[in-house]
Amino acid sequence: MTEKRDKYTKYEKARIIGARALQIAAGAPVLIRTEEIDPIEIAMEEFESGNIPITVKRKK
Amino acid sequence: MYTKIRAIDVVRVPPERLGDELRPTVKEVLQDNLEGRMDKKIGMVIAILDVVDMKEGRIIIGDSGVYYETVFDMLVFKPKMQEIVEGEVVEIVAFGAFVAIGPLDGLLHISQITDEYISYDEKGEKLVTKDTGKTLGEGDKLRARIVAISLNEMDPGDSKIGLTMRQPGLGKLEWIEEEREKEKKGEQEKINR
Amino acid sequence: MVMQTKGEVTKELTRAGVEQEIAELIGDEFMLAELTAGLDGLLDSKEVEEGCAEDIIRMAGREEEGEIKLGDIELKVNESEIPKRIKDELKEKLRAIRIELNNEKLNAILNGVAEKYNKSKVVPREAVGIVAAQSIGEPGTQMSIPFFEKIIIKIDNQIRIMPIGEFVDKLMDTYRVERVNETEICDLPSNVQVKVPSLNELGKIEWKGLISCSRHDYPKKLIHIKTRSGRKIIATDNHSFVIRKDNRILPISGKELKPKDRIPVIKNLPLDDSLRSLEISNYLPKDEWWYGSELKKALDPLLGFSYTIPVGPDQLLNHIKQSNTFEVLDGFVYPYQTHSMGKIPECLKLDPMLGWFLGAYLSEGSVSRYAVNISNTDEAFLSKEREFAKSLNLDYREKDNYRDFARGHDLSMSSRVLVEFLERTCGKGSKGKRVPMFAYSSDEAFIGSLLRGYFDGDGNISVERKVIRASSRSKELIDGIALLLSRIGIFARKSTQGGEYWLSISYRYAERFKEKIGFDTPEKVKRLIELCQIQPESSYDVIEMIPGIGQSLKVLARKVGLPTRLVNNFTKRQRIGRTTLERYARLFEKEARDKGININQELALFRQMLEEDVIWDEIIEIQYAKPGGKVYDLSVEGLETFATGEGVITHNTLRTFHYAGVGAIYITLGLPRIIEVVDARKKPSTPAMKIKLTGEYARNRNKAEELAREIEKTYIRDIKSEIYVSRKDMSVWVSLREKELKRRHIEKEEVKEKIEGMDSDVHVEEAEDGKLRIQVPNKSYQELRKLEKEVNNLSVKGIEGIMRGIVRRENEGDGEYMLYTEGSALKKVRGIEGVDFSRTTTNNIAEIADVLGIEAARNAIIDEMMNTLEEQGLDVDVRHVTLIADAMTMDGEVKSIGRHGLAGGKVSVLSRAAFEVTVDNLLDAAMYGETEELKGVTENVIVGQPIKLGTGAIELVARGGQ
Repeated sequence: MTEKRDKYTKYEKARIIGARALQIAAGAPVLIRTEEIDPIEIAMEEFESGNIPITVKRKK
Repeated sequence: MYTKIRAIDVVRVPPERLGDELRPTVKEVLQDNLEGRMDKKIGMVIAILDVVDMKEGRIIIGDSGVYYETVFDMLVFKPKMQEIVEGEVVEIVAFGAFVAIGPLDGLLHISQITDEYISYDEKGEKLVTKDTGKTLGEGDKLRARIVAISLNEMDPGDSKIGLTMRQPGLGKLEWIEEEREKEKKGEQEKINR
Repeated sequence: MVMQTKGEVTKELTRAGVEQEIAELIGDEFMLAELTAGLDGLLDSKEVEEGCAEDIIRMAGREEEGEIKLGDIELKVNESEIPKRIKDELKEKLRAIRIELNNEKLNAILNGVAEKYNKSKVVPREAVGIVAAQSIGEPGTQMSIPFFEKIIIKIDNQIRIMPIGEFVDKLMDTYRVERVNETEICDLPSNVQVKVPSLNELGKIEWKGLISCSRHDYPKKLIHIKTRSGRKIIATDNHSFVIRKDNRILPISGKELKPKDRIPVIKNLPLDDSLRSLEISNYLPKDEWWYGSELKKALDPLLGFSYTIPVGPDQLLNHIKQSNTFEVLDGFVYPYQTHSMGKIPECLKLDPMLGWFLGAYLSEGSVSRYAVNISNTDEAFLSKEREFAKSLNLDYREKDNYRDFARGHDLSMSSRVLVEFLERTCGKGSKGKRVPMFAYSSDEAFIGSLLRGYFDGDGNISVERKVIRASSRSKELIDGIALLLSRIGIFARKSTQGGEYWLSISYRYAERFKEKIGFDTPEKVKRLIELCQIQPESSYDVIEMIPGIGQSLKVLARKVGLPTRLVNNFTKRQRIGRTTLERYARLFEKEARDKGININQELALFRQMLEEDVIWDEIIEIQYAKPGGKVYDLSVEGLETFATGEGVITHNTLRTFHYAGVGAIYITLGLPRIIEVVDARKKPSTPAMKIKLTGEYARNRNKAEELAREIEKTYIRDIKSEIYVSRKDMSVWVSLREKELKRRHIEKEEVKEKIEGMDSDVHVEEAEDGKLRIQVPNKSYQELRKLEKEVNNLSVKGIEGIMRGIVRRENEGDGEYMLYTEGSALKKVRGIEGVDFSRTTTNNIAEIADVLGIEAARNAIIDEMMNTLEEQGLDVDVRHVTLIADAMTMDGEVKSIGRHGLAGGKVSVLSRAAFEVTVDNLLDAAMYGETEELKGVTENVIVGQPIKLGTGAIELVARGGQ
């Protein structure tokens, strides 16, 4: 049902990064080492490095 | 009455706790949320016991927390009507006694303590019967029946439970003991004759 | 040495100075270098003395004889009427080919370029794009006027009245003629200057140049318009005229004109340069009459060798030997035979004296072979006659006569020459007299005195009737007098009574009449003064109305704070009398002044209205006249109007800015069309088809026309000449027009069959005279009348729905012929021979969906919308339109976008409620217990949730094992 994919649509990517950034901004622990301070940037880096704990649930 | 209930609820894990181990975190959140809460239907949540099962955590637009639908066991206390309970007197007042029933207090009205005439002794802070001189004071354990329940979800402490002891078999435990002795002695004398 | 440059003070001629002058004049460094090279040595030459810079340039550039001088090119190009940017380019090019040029070629080139440029020039406000529209018209639908209709033209500052046919024919014989479809068009070369009186937007008459003219056959009927002032104009029924509407002057098709509409007639015809004198030799040729100046030339060899005299060399010898006993004085014209004293000057001055005499002649004059006789008893009149005779040194005799009931008095002047001159310019006899052509071009004083002479003779004033009238048996004369009156701003009404042509002038012009014309006869003078004193306040003059005033009066009334009911009457009827308008203008002005409101703009508009050079003449009758012959048209620069001989202003049509009348098919365009398409209307407001043809039909115009006639719907009423019920034999009689039958290729048999097909007991037979007799047994008279009506409306040929078919060619020259129809009937044209159904299209989308299927409909929607948008100049990507088309046709039928189609078919309650009928939708939904699933965009927006599109379409989960 859920999978980690190589390719996400732009909408999925946007959603994922957005949600993660929101979490980070609210104080969630960050999963990568980074110099960034902007939650969105951090989230993007996490995404790029494949370290995001969020994924898309495919509709049946 | 105490019950162990298996319940389902959606738990929001706040973003700060996202790095921690899931199960304990969820249990903690549950505990923080539920323990000590009064629900009219379920009763009062005493303790969350175990997290039995969890679904996938879902993320909602606009919210940084993650939502888990959780199945868990909890211990609840719900006073039932006509239930016989044993409790300890915590306070004596002019109009009766407050008795601790589980996590809640019940009120034993002065008129519901004995069939005899009983009155409030201000000096000794006891309730004393006129004829037999039985007393009821703080710390006394007793057995009563629940006759009225009014649970307040907002302020559990404000819940009102009405008790009575004017039924056979009910009363301060010593009195019940005394009755039993007396009956046993009476029975013995009958057999002896 | 001094040098003069244009208008400047003389300067010292130095080398540097010359160079500078040249540089300024030429403005070209390349040229300058060349020229200054040649300057050395020139500066000292004598020729340069007192010359000017241009000459120097010319001389400096001098090279071999015959070769064009560089300077010449420059100067000639600079002088020509070519715009600057073209000049520069032209100069360059000419320089490059200088070696091959000579003066002649250069001139030809410059003329050619100037002409081409002028041709393509557009007058401000002229509708350029529609210039091409004229080629859309079917031949025979061009708007034009017939041969004999006279027009007013001005050539070399001389006004002429002549039939348009004559004029155009002559032009076409002289200049190049082009054939476009069935019309012959002649473009006037730019060196030929012909002007016509043209109405401009301010209501003033201007003389505008003629650009081209045309003629073509016209088999249809002509319309005959009669106005209240007695003027007439005949034209083809889609000839366009002008009317006044909303304070603007607009074209209108003749077909749309109806009685009560008002068309402009010239009231005041201006002329800048008038004719001062007349060369008699234009009327009396020099080889038939003795001209003193010619004899002088003949006698004096020193004056050259060419002269024209009416005698041969022998007779001339007699003169030289002085053996003839008469003198031919220089500057006079003598008759050939009699050598009498009746000589007149070779060059007649057009002074008031002569004018008066001509007027007098026209009213009461007659001629015999040797004398001019004018009859009048009034002493003032007679004394003027005597004055005139004396001024020309003519012999005259006076005598009483008793020809009529009362005593008459004749004054005869003897002059063969004068007689001949009068005959040729003014005609003779009561039916043959006319105003001489040169009179129109003369100045006001001359015209005034001519009219004075005329009215003093034939005119009469009626103070009770408040008119000045005159009559004649010569229509031409009356027309001419009316036109002359318009040269001085007096408008006359014409009428016909009992063989006499009448002319009447309203008392409103009495003042002007007195000023410009006047009388000599004391009785008339007195009455004229009385006329002048009549107050024009309260009477209602039906002719002097200004139509099409729009809302101007109402708006102005409001502005100055006067109640609008004062002017409601005029605003409602859209016309106001001239004097009334003056009155109101004064009233408004006063109000505005008192209240300190500025109404200068509005007053200026009223001024303009009052000062118009035309009368808006009411049409009282429009009839149809027999066709015949060719019809003609003129193309005039600017607003494209010209005038007939009677002063009626009409609108040209060759390069018209009037789309509808050209005979083209009008199709809904723009936003309304888009709305039609998107609303999936079953029937568009202007259905049209474009039928492509096969084989022979596409190549041969006649065959294509044939096909057009075939499918054009024809009813009996279009081909009948008359239809009536005959009581005698209780039957309906129809007589058909052979010409129409032939034109539409219908056989009488067909008609018979069609009529018989109406009902089973209808019986038709043809009588000997060709008429059709329709008999139905047992019908009462009333029923027969009904039958007559039905037969009249019976369809004889053609396809139901096709109103009109026009044959057009694709590329104006090559290209196949195709048929454009008004009306659409896809199914029915399919089987017709000649029709290439696979390439035929219509703009009726529903029809396409029905006949060709839903996918075709989808494509048709896309085409129709894209065309409409492109035509409006809007650039919309085809994808958007494709989306609409797909959405409309996705279910297999053409659905509209609105609440009856796509939008209304939605499942979501909130979505439908948000679209159009809100309350009804909510009410019904509540009644039927509908559920809203919040799946779409609108409903989620309404409740405030994220939309399930894009980012909202994704569900995220947190992956475990964090």
